[in-house]
Amino acid sequence: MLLNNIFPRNRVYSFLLCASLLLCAAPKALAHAILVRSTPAAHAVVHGANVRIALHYNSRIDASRCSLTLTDASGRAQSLAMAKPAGPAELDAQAQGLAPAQYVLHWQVLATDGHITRGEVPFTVQ
Amino acid sequence: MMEGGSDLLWFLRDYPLAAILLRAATLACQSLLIGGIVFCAGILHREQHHDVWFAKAHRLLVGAAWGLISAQLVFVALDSAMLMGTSDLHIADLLTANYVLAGDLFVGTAGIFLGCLHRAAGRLSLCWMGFALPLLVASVWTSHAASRLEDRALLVVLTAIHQLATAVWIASLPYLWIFLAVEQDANAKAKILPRYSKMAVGAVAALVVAGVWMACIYTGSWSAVYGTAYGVVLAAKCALLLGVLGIGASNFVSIRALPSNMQPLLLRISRATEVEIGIGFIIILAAASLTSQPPAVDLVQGRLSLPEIAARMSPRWPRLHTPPLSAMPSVQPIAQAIRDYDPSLEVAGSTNNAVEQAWSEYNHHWAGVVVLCAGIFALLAHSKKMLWARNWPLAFLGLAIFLFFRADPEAWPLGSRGFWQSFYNPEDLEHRFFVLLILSFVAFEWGVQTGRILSKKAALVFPAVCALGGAVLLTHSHSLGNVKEELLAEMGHTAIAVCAVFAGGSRWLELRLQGKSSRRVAWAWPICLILIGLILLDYREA
Repeated sequence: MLLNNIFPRNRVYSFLLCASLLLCAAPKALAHAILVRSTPAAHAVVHGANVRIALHYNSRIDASRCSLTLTDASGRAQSLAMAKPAGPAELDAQAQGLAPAQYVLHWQVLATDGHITRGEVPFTVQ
Repeated sequence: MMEGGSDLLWFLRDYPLAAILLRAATLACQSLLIGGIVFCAGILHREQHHDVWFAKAHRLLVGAAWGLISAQLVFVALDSAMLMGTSDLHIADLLTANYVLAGDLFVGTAGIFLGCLHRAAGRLSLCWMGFALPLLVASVWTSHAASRLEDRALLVVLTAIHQLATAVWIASLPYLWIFLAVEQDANAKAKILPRYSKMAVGAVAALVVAGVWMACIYTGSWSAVYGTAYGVVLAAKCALLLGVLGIGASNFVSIRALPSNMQPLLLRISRATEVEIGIGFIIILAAASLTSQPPAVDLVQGRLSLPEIAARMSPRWPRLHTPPLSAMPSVQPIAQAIRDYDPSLEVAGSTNNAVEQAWSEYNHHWAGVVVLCAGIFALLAHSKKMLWARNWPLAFLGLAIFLFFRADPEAWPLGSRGFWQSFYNPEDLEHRFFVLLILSFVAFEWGVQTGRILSKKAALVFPAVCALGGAVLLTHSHSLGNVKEELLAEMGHTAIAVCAVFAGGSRWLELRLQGKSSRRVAWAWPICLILIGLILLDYREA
């Protein structure tokens, strides 16, 4: 009982997972697929409520298993539905009905080699 | 999508490191399987009466197959948990993903291999090479090559050749080593070694040609080699490869001289092979680390220039005064950090402020002083007039205590996070692991140096721990919130890792070789320690 209070079970499981798999080091900051260019570009200012989003990567990605999330300045997040990509290294989507504000587009991609990477593109709608 | 705040998601934030380790385990196990088949079918097939050897090799093959199955199951589970935890995907959506299909192929092939091995009566024929094909397909399928937009077909072929050559050269060495250990007939050994040597020379040539070709495509320019993380790890891999090639070349010469002076040469080859195996598998870890980096040619922005590197590396007086603990920024309690954690919104680490940088530099510089002193004393200990210098391992005791208190100021005993809570942070965990490593080799090596411990096996703890520490450091990175700062820190740590691996390798050789060969390498590891000390003294974060 005392042991359970000191080490709640889920904490212990987590610890064991960490201890067994992460015995050695801090995570690598970089991983595989990286964003080469984007529309809108990082820190760009765009006009209008409907914004076309196109992200180009350095490697082939599994577009059907990638995700795009848009957060506004208040931190409210919405998932964006993906359109059919124009190429094997591209993600396309349309953000609609955006009020003038600052936004951050969070992307997560699964490269075809199985690596998952994440990043963000901040932009402003006027 | 799952909300932030679960322990599982907190654990998954260290996904990139877990992916490197699992990739390394996959590469090592697939190579051991292919290397075992090649050695068994290609080198030993004409020989008779190797039952003892086969029993031991059988155990290694079974271990490699189960290792491959485990690594792939964990990787597929981890990738799937990561995707499901951070998106709306369900398990059914992932069944046809590339990494799942490649995992199926790995697991299926290893499973069938285990079944066939169970029925194999003491030997493997060349038909078993058929298992190499699906293993290589699955491996290349989940490599950089398969996801490239340009030169894809060429890179796929080069990657397959590179991995096959690695298996044939490096991963068949453990089987050769077992053979040399269990075979009593020196003539039988002398017959097998030239066969292996011919095969290894061919494999090394293929490995180097394919490796250099791929390096040219993935880096594209010299500036990408020194200016990107990919280039730095690649350079470390090349340095380690040169070390293994040096040992291989020495074995090659010994094998050519075998007909004369057979027993001492066989012993020398067998013992040098131990180091060749150790460094060879550390190179496989470096290769796995490379696969987690975007190819250097793709990183056009954020590259380091030579003047930037020179400015950071130019020697300055070490920082030997610490900022007060009270000046360090406060940290969130771990429970709250876990609660607030949202993986889908996390991208980069935070930037260290000036106080944190000063704290870290002070730690690295004092560690440098200790390692430099230990290296100098270890060098002096070669002189019979300076027997007191043999106490050099005790310097590392001070380092272990220093690291224990100073490495993680946010955690127990200095910080607000408790002892067990600190284990949630992989960086803290890593530092505590290093403290344990240091304490273990201090205990053994001090006893060995001062004659308190006479066991030959105990003497091998220091070189083994040294090489292990170097291997671990190859996966180390600093989350400094800035690509260039991280890379500058990584450069120093990668150089330390390479020196540590060479220090471990040369000390191992000193202990295992005899006569002139042993004395010749005895100077190398203290010099490696001195180099590590100097690199640590030159460490800076700004």
